Amino acid sequence: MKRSPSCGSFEHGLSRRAFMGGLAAGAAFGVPTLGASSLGAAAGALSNDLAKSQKRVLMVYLSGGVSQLESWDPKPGSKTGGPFRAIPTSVPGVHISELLPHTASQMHRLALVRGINTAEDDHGKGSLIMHTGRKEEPGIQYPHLGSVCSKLLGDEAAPLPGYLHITPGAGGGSSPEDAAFLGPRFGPVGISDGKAPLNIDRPGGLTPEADLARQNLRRKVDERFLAARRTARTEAFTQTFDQAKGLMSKKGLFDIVGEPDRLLDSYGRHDFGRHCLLSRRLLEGGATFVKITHTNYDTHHENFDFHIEQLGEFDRSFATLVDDLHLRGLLSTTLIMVISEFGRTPNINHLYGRDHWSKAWSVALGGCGIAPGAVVGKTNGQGTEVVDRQVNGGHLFHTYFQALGLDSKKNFYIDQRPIPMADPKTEPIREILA
Amino acid sequence: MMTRSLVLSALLATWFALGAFCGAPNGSDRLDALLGAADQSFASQTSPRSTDLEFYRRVSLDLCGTIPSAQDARAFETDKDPTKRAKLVDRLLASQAHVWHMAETLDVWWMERRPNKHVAADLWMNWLREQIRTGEPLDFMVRDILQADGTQKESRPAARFFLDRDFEPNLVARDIARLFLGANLQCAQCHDHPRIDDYTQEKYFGLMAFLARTRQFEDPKSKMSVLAEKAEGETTFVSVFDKAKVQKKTPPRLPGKKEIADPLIGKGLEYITAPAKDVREVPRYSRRQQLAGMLAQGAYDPFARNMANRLWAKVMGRGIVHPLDLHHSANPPSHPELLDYLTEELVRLQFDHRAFLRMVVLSEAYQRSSRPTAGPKTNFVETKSDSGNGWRMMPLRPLGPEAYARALLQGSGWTDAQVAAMRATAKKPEDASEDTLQGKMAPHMGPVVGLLKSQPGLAEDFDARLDQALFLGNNGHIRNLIASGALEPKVATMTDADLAIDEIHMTVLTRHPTPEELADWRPLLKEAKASKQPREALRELIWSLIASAEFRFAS
Repeated sequence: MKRSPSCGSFEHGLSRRAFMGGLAAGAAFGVPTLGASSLGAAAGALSNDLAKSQKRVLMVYLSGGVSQLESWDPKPGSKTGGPFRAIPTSVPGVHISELLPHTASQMHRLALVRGINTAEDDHGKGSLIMHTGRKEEPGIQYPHLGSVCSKLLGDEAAPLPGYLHITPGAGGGSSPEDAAFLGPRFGPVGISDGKAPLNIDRPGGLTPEADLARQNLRRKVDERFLAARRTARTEAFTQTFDQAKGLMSKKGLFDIVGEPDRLLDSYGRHDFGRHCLLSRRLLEGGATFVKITHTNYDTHHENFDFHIEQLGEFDRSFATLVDDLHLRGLLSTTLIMVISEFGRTPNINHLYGRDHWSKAWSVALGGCGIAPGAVVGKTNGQGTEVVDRQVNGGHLFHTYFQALGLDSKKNFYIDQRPIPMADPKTEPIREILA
Repeated sequence: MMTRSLVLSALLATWFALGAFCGAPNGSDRLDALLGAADQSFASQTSPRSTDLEFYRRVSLDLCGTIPSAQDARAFETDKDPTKRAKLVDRLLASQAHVWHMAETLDVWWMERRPNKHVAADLWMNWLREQIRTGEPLDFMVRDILQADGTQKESRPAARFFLDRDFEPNLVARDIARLFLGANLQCAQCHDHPRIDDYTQEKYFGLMAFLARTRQFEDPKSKMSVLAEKAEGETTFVSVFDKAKVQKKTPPRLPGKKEIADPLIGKGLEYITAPAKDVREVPRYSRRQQLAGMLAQGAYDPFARNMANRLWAKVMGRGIVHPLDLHHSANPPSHPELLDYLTEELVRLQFDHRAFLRMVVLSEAYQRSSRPTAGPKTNFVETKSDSGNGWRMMPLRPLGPEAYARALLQGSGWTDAQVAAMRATAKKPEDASEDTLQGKMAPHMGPVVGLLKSQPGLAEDFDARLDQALFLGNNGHIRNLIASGALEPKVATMTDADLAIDEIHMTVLTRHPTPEELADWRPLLKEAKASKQPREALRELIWSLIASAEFRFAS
């Protein structure tokens, strides 16, 4: 596979061809095609140079712990393999579970890390490792990846908040504590069940003109008050009103009803499908980091039935999203990661379930800075141990940052205290960096 | 404990009586002299004295966590008494509103918004308020906190410091060092601090040695978490930088103090209650108990210095040592003699926070305007301006979450309406007391505090966020406060436009409108009153002031 040294120019080339010549190359592998209707929008996105150079991140979080054996690292025919087959993908020699046929056809745009050992089987602690790249440490909270990206990649003047979290149910998603020492403004803004953030609507009875009038008066009061005594804090405060105005102006992004029927069908007319489509609209609309949570993979019993159901939703929606990002020229600047808090035990328990398992599992990456089609790390025949290129959360974080063009060996500073961006005991996984 | 508090209350009363005659205490003059001592040009660069109204708003926010009513502000403005500022300060410090505010302040300092785990927050807050009300000195309070094991009803509230940290030893050691000694020894947990010579691993583990024998224990019968302590166990450590992995050992030792050897206790006599299954062990000699008495006292300089610096920062916007938890030789105080003096005073005043704050807020430094003089360039000076350019002027300071929430209630006229209603229906004095009012405020403050407060375990800090602006602009809560407040109906019936504009500015911003503002507002008010929905239009005008930076920051 040809690799380009610069982030994404390979993908950019592909998407240009797609734009000039017709449908995505991926269509040849049987991806749900998006059709001509999406190409107009793609042209719009491509013509926007600013949006193109901005780096973005899409995190798909499979909550509860997806089974690596039913997804990225199948072991068909072995004692631990379960009932499903492995199928070939768009990358010769790489096989994944038959539960992911659409994703298999996008494999040439993704990469797999199959040697993860996070050594933490607790949901909360595992999730923390995967979101912060560190094990829990008393006395310090590390910022979540979304907050770091929002801080380092985001544009504070952008109308959308830097870190958006689309959650499956109502409520939640907004957890300013995720930003830790970076400051809560870099915390996730919750998009509960794909709905616009709280208080985005102008109050009933207040006309746009009246709103403008009251904001103008407020601004005048502020200007008089702050004359000759502006500080960073007063600036931050007055800017939030502009940010609010920006987000209110983008409210339309949250309304996916206007999307073409074929696209809605491709993404899937269920929550996760809608959330994937929304994530594309948000990334295209200028969001820096979008996290989608898909739940629930914690399959202590009936692991196989549940994975048919859950991955059945995930597969087509996710594959469509990858393809759609590519078609719009966004994939080359969007780092994608599909993660969980851990994987699931090779051992199948008496309830046909698989339990928590962090010793040998996998994640999928793709897009910006990632070598397309690369696979790194290997587990043994029954998936009970990593036998080649074992990595943990720290390695992944170095890899994410490098893929985004950030120097992962740099420090944050809390007052005078240096806090390494990523665990200094680990290194980037160079084999999958483009 | 009871006698101690009673005696203190009596002393406090006498002291206040004296204070009323004295005006600014001499301590304030000394403070001002030391602040200006370092720089000859200081005096020529300072801003003029604040106006009476500026001062009233400022000192109400700093001592009582709210803004004054327009009526009170007008009365203060017209008072001809030359000692009225000192009298105001004494009145505020003696008020129950101060008790609520100071208890909130200490809660945020010491618990850092940690969620309720083993000790109900109400129990803790009531305890804090009772301490403040009775004039309990701050060093005594900290001693109570460090001594509490949670087994006695009396000590249960103070045990929240330990219990709601689950007595995680590293967390507890770190927080004692940060919050009570102003030294963030976190790095020294694994190695000597790479950049701060004073923060050695030995110091960290010397402190840890007081704590390491203690553990949290859940009583199987009561299901209550309490502290248990062993009589043995030595504290050892290895630097992660040490390739030879040499294990060092340390007995308990406060930073800068001597090691404390365990007393010799005969074999078999080590325990009052020996360790056993489901039993809370109690040693004859408790290392943890040693810590409380040694640390929380005036004779231990880091303790007094940290407390003086934090109290100063509370009302002056920034510590003399800043950040507040980084006292060390490479981060010297901006005004060393001043901090020495404040520390000595706090000790001399026996950690009476009222006497100390009184001295600070009656200084010229505190009373200066927040507008710069023509001299120094102060436009957009990042972080430095938090000290008003070395307190040549008063820095703009964001209101704390509770103060902002309470100011919203007062500024919208909600509190005035509430007080009027309480007085009209009160059957006994308590019905209209400050405690009753605070109780009524709490649910209306909740949504705002929730939106502004820092995350658990992090020091309170200002952060402006999008969701806050969306809330302020669009949420029904703020609109309801304005709609149910006394300000809008009052102004609606006023026929003189200038008086109406004045009332709005006095209520929301504790100041009169400038002639420029009057000129701006006259047509706006006229237009609002002539509109189809005059009351709603009037509320939007009020909102413009409520949402302003002038309302968000203390000036």
